[in-house]
Amino acid sequence: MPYEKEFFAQDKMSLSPIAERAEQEGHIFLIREASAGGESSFQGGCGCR
Amino acid sequence: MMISLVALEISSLASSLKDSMSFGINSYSDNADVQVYSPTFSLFKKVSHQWMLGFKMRIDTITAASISNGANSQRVDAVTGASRAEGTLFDDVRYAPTLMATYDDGKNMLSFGAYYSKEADYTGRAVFANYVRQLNEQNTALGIGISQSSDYWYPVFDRELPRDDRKEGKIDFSINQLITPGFSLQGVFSYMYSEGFLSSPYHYVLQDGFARFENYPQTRTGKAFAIKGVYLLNPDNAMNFSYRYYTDDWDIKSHTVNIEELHDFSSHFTSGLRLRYYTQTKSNFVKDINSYSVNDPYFAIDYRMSAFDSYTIGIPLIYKTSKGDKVTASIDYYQTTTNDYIKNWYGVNSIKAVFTTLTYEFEY
Repeated sequence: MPYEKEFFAQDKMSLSPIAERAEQEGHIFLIREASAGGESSFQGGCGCR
Repeated sequence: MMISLVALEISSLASSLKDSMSFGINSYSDNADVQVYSPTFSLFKKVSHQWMLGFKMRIDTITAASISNGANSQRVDAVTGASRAEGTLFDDVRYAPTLMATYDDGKNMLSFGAYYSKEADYTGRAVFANYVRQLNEQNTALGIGISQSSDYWYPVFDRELPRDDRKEGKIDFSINQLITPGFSLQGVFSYMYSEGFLSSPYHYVLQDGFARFENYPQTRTGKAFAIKGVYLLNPDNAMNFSYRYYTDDWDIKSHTVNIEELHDFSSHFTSGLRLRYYTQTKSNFVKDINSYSVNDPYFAIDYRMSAFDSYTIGIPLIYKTSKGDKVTASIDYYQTTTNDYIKNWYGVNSIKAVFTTLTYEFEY
């Protein structure tokens, strides 16, 4: 049986509760640090790295 | 000059496509005299029951002493001779549109698209695709994502690069598993490959009467393993956590831990606190400052090739109207540990930054 998923419809139960922050900090950390990956997401290039 | 990231979060929930739009403004400011203000816009439109098209636009308006002075933020740069264009409001403006399409039939979700980025000295082009398969009555989701970019440098001063291209490929495998009605886990493995001119064309080593531009190996292969989870503590509180291990063939290894607690203050308003810790080792070709010799094969002066830690603390804010419109905001403070390379290049002991987001999104 599938579990009830009502809690996962709430913002606080998301792995990325604020999508825009995830994007913003994703590229800030890519620029300020030397690591990448582990995000199951696409990264476009820019001249800061 | 930032990197656009299109997050395609893999959820264990069956997604439903909806017409939606968002407007936002992000900011970044640090003590190395970099300020970035980034208006954002997104539009998603269903074109059938199972297909949706999307468009995202991000504009980075950048002021940075490292651009207006040349490569070095601390002085007008005699090595590169680069200078800010007279009469311009910003030192650089980056335009980054993304087009995408999504198919979702409840069990299979496929997203794919193309990304373009244009700034004064760099052009980025990429394609990407993600596929997610729901299993086990939607308690399990398996995902695979691929992306390939083909970018080019156009230095703002007259410098002939050893090569002017940079290509990056990435493949991600992920699994989401609902453990209980209030506990979900995700595992992600990423394999990344880069080739081309991988350093900055502006950074240089200056010592003992000789100057050399940075020169890194022309290929790099990295792997990342991440585990993430979200746990419902009680009906009003949830804990979000993640750990990532990264390693590459430049011998850089890192650990990243992130934890966030969110509290529903009302049915409309949610907020909390997030903490992040990051630590990395140095690359195998960086040398101590002032210890290079003129015949070294590689030169690195960028602190990102050295060992350092960083800390982030932030506050997220989510407000939902009765209609379902959503306003999200965040403010985060970021600081690295004291680092000789940062001091050498930026003239400060550590990087200290504040970054914010503010977005209004709604369905139509």
